[in-house]
Amino acid sequence: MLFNSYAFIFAFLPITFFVYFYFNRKHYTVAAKYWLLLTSLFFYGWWNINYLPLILSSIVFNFGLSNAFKPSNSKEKNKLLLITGLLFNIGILGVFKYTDFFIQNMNSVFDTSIPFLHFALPLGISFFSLQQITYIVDRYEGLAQEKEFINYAIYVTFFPQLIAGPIVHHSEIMPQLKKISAKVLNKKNITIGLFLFSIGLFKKAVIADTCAIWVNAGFQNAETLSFLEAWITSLSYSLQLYFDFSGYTDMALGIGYMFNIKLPINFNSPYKARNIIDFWQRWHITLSRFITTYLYTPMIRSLNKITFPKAMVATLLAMLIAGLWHGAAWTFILFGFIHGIGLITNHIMRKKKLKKLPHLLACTLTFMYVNMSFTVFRSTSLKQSAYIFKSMLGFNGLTLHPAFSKLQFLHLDWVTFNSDWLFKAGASKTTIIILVILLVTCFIGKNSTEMIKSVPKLSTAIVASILFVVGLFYLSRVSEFLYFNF
Amino acid sequence: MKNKNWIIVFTLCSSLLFFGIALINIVIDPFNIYSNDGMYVNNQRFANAGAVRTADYNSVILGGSLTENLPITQLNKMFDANFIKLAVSGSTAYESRLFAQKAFKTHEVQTVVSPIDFFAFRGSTTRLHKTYEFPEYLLDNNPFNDLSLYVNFDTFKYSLKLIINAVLNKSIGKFTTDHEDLFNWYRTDKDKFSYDHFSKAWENRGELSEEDGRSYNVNLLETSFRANFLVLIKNNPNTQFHIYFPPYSSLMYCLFIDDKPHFIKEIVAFKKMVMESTLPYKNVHLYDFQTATHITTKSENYKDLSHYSPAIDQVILKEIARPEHYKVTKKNTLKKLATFEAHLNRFNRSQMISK
Repeated sequence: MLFNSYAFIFAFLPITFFVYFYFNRKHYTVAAKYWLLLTSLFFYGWWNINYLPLILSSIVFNFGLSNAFKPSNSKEKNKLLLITGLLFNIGILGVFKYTDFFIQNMNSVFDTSIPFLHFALPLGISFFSLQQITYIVDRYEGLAQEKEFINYAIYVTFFPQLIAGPIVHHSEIMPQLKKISAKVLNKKNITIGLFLFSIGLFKKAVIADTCAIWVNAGFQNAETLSFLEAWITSLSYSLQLYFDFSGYTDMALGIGYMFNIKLPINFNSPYKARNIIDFWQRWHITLSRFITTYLYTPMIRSLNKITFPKAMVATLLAMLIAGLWHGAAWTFILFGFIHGIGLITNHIMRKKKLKKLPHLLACTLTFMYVNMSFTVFRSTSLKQSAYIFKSMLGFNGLTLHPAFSKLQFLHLDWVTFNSDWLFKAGASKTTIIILVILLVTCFIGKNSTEMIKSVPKLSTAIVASILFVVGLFYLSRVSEFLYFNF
Repeated sequence: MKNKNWIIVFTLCSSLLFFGIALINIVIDPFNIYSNDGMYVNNQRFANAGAVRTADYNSVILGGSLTENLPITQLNKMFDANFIKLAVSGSTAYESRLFAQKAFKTHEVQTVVSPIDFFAFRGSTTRLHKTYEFPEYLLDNNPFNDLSLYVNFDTFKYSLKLIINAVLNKSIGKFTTDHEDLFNWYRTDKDKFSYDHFSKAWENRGELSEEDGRSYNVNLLETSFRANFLVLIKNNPNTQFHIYFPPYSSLMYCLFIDDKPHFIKEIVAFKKMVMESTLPYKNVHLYDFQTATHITTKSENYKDLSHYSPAIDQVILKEIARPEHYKVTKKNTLKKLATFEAHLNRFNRSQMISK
């Protein structure tokens, strides 16, 4: 089920919410827990009921395995359990997400023709696999313990964060759910929840889906874009991805608040970042945390002696894996590589204590670098990225509106005038204005988490209701959240 | 402000806005879903979804860009009918079927004119256009899901523009009272039928993506044809179907031949299947203009590899009015196919590319 659907907003969410608190009010707390689990599974199975057995068996296996960790066990036994857990979760992810990619590369390297298996990618598999890995590792480290199956199942399936994160730790969710105060309607949390949900719905349905029109048209015509069309395409995608994913996260956080659960922040104005290190501390924060804690740190720990070059190799490796996590294609690996190189460059600059760039210049350069990486991220092939970059660098010439034809006296061969000047990006003059407004908002505007501090005001109630209704009225152009595919 | 009051204000404002806007949309009905005021929005798929339900007609033109320009007045005279154009740019076979089914359900349809455009039949049976939103919910049999058109901001924008136009006597927004005006690209592209445009289209041809290549599979084309077109013929024996293989330029086939060596065999097999499956029906009149090599090998007849000029439409209409050269019958099927295949095998692309 999608957050941005009438079924979710008008039926699923209100029913789940009221029945959950009704049970709690009547002190049927166990029933309330089962209700939450049942509705979360319904939410997951709505899309495709065939996905349910996979997630359920994954939960059962991980719960069983995690309970086998015991202090009385030998170190070796616990390590073996850890490795089994990791292999199981990575294995599921590998089989469903990367098998065809592996076969495709085998076929092209060894000139074989192994048929593709065409496994359907189960919804949110990248997220629930990582979440269960965090639990297994935390359990091994003695940082988490869950004795009741129902609690563990809710931790994995809690519907606001089930299919696209944030990737949460057991310690972030379960203590909150177990609190008595979490079982009572909290007006302050409902206010914040409605506010965040409205902003998220607007970001997703209005902004991201509008940008998607220019992105789809531009990438479809990648080979023949003019200079301006290529920039519109590229910038629109960076904005689409940000508003899509952060909109989704706002909605998830909002629903979490309604249920008195504070989910971790996933975005903190990432386009205000001054460098790539800063960017990853602001963009998909819970993924960055996972990469650092469960990829980079173990790699560093496994080294006998940590040196700067070794740490940088570990950084690059971690980012390559993070890139691959986003999708089974070389473009995603290249995306990870670009960010790995960006991080290494920043670390070298810090080590050499180079003079910091002026704030605006640093932010702009970082954004341009990220924008380039997102163009690769969105491309279906490296060739498509190359076409767009070529046009962005002006190799396909500049097409301007005939209103600028007075510039003809300059006799510039590479400038043409055409009333269809932005046609291949599906754009118009208004597109440019909208993109500028959105970029400025990203650079200087407050993010939704900052805004909730000023929530209980009349003005915010009116603004939130307008955003909510406008968002609702944009739902007929229903599209999927981008991150569901990753 | 207390949180309780905030929630009340939020709920009241949201409800008021939501129902208020929906009510305006229902009353104004800019897409003519419930009544037709003859004012059409500049969006082919939505305008047609309304027109097919509420406009006055007894014959329809289906298809995509190849039939967008067919002159209705001429067809009306030819058939003594009242045609409506349900062709939409880049139409898929499934989209055409939905329009046609709605037309058959709401009107007595005498005549259907439609190209058998193999581009429309590619991919899955229920393929919609990648870019243009298609209002399937307005063409199904569920009246309740029509409401989502009224809980739609785009509808509200059209409603507002219509209100402003009516109150202030202005003409903001793109509306037309001429339904045909939504389709005619000859008006804007009339100077483009030339060697220069044609050869540029060839130069700028993109590579066929793997997905596109797969979607032109002959089995998929057949499945879609049977599900989306043959079913209309079968279910409506009292309607006359004038259908034709449109005269794409001969060079167009080279796009595919370069990528799929067996393409000629596949396209011939598809045409054979269409002929064999439709000709047994008495209400079918089938024409094949793809053997008209004096048309298909002349670049000046085209603005790109497949879109031809108004003069070629006249050839098509003339043939439909009085069949002479291009009508396909059970007797000449094999001959027509052999001529077509031989032409593609013999065709020398340089005769169209070089001036």
